[in-house]
Amino acid sequence: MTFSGLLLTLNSDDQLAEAALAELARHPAVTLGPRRERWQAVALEVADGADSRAAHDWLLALPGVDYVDVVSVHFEPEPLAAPLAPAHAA
Amino acid sequence: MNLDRRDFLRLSALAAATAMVDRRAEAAPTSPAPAAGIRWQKAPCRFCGTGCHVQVGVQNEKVVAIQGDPEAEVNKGLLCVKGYHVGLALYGQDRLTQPQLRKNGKLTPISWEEAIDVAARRILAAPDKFAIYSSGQSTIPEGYAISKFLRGGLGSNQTEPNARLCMASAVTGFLSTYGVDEPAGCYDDLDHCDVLVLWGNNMAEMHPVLFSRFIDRRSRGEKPLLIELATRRTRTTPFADHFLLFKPQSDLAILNGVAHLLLAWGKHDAAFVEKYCSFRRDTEKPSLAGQPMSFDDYKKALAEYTPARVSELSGVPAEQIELLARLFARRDLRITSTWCMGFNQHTRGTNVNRLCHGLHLLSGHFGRPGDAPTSLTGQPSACGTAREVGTLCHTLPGGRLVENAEHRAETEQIWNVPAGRIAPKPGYHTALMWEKFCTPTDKGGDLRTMFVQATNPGQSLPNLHKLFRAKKGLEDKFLIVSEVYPSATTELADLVLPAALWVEKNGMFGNSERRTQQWFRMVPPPGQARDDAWMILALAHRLLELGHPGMKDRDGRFLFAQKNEAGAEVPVWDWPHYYDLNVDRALFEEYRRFSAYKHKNLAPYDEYVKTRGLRWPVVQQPDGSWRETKFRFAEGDDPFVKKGAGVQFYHSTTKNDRAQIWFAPYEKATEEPDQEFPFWLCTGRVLEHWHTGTMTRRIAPLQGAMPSAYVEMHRDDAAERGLRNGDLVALRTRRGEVRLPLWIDGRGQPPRGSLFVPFFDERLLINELTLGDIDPISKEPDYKKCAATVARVAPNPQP
Repeated sequence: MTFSGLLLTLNSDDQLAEAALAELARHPAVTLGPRRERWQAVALEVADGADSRAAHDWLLALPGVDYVDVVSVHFEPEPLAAPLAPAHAA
Repeated sequence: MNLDRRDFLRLSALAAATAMVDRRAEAAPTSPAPAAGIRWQKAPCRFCGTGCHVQVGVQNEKVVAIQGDPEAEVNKGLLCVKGYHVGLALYGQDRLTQPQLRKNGKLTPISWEEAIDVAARRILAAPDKFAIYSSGQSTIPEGYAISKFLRGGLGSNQTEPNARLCMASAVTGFLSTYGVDEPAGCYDDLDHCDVLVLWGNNMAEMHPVLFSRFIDRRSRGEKPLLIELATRRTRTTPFADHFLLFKPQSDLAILNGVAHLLLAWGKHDAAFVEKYCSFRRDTEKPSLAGQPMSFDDYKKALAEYTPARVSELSGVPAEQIELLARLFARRDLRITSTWCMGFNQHTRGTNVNRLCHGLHLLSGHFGRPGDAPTSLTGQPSACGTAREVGTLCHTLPGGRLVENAEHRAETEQIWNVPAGRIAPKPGYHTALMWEKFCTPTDKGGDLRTMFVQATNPGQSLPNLHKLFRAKKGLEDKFLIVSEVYPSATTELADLVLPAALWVEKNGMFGNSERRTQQWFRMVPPPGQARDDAWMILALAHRLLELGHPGMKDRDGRFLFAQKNEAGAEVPVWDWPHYYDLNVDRALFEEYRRFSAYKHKNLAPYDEYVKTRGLRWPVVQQPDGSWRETKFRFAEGDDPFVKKGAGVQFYHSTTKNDRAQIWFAPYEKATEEPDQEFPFWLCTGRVLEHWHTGTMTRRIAPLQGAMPSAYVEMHRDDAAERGLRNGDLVALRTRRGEVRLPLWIDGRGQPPRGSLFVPFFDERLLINELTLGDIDPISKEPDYKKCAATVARVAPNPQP
């Protein structure tokens, strides 16, 4: 599992921001923390790096979210999808 | 409260995010992170030159978590996608863990004792034919050990850092303008400027935390203006208020055009120029010093750079050039310029750096918070190690020069080595060093043994066939490589030494804004991997045992002898004893003695332990505390500026406290598109990978997000050639061919006639195609411009 702490900057339009927060509250991977002004704390719990990226992209695409900054990541090393092979491997 | 592991990790993440929310909203912190099992310590990020601090979470001798450090002034608790995965750089499955010697063509495991002995005997056989090629990723103590070993021990200046490939033109720009290297301003300028001008600097991808720091001001209701000048659209472009798309190389003309308009309108800052500046131009043969010119001659030289002429050269509409000039003409605005590889990797890199400084000086946009020209670095210690310690072939520690007899004598005094030990002749610059190593001995290739530390020249040098791969088959050449993972460089290595990485060792870096940073070892390196600084000390001691006279000082002591607090000698060259004392601290305290000469004063090591870095010059206050400097040359902040001076360039090349405003003409690139090779080829980086990808390609989330290199092309150019997104194409220059997929309207969008390829992918070595032509002053290669052609690779015939 990968756990990330995220700082969301919400849109200055309150309606959009509230709609985004409602979406976030329904998402099973998201735990909402406190909000102050335009900034919202979020914890994200996903299976691996690929899911983490997908969730990140989903957050960025929400109309009420302007920016997503990652604050912390707890991780476990994952194997690469494909092995590395140098062009000039001996 | 009982928490299971999952709850604990989720709440830890939430606590870190909440702390950032509090910080952004400038509210009192409400939720301390839960403590359990994980030990947190500070360290600067291992990747780029921004110098973000991270909190490293360690459990059971393993890095398990990374947080942005909320106490860090640079990143204020935030990190980029690479930064928050930096801990995984340690845990790729193919870490090098044992020394290996090539025997019968195959790398074979050997002991450290044998490895050090083999290397030492190679050096002893021909010390003058030995060179060290290190890095802007080497720590400050590592760089210092290299410099002392080579110059003070072997009496050789054959040392270069890879920073020659990325920052050398910035260095010569600073030196020829102010007489001393590195920026006057700092990242605080991003918080204070009204206008940020990005000169060929894709900050959103290359320095994302700094970009976020600037853009965040918009979410607070501020409206700082962002001007981007670039040769293609990037992830930075959508944020720009004005985007100036220019033809490669024409940045020289644009800078001259803006300066011309300021003078034509009578809008330059005459008082600032009169008081603080002189004018200069190049000598017939380009040189760092150049020659003086009058203001009238300067004005005349600029006269041809009218908006119409500059527009013709650059492709930038005249109105946009005038817009830029109108901004620089306004004294009520504060303007910060930043640049990175776009200016530096340029066959006229020194000149374009000079012109940018000159524009700020001419317009008086200098010396106030938010008013500064600031170069950004790509590596975590290009400044701290390569530039300040002095691992370039012509420099000594602390900004001293090899060719200066007084500087050599001072250095010999501090090192306590016999007078005359330091050779007066600089070594070879990077391109020449590798050419000499890759040329057969009987054809003038007079370097026989190279030791590479913390860098990957087999991928990052330009024109790789000539400057690296030609080593293959040269039997009397011997390549020693200290690395953490197999790379394009270890592939040709004769001796591979497994290196400790980042928090597996003590370290110190110096970032882009003159900030010196320190961290402690937190986890053990894997297998037999060891510290780079130890390798140098062990080599030096083995040479001492073999009888090399240079490894002793004037009193007959070992060059790197260290005593503990009780006064007993500690055999730090012997690995089991290396951490019996803090070797980093000892080396840094010795190096610190060099720092005052160029007013780059450093604090004692223990002060850096307490902080998230300090920006030099750092001077002690009457109360015993140590104070850093944000804005150099400006009265009130820089302690070396005389009271009442306002601004004082106290290292002026003309010895009169004046900076130099240079004139440099627009000149064509050394290789331009033609009928056979109709495209400009530009190379660079991407957000997810750091430089040659040796570390980031082992990090699954980053590698998954950007798995392979590609070539960006304009959709109309592609359509003309019948090419579609994803087609495999053959990209060719006069130096070679690489096959890679086409990406239209992808991450970046080059204009018609231009191509872009990132260089992180070891399987697609784009530097086999790049030019290798260098700036005549800085000797830095141009990776941004050469002529190329593209053709579809015929699909395999159906069976």
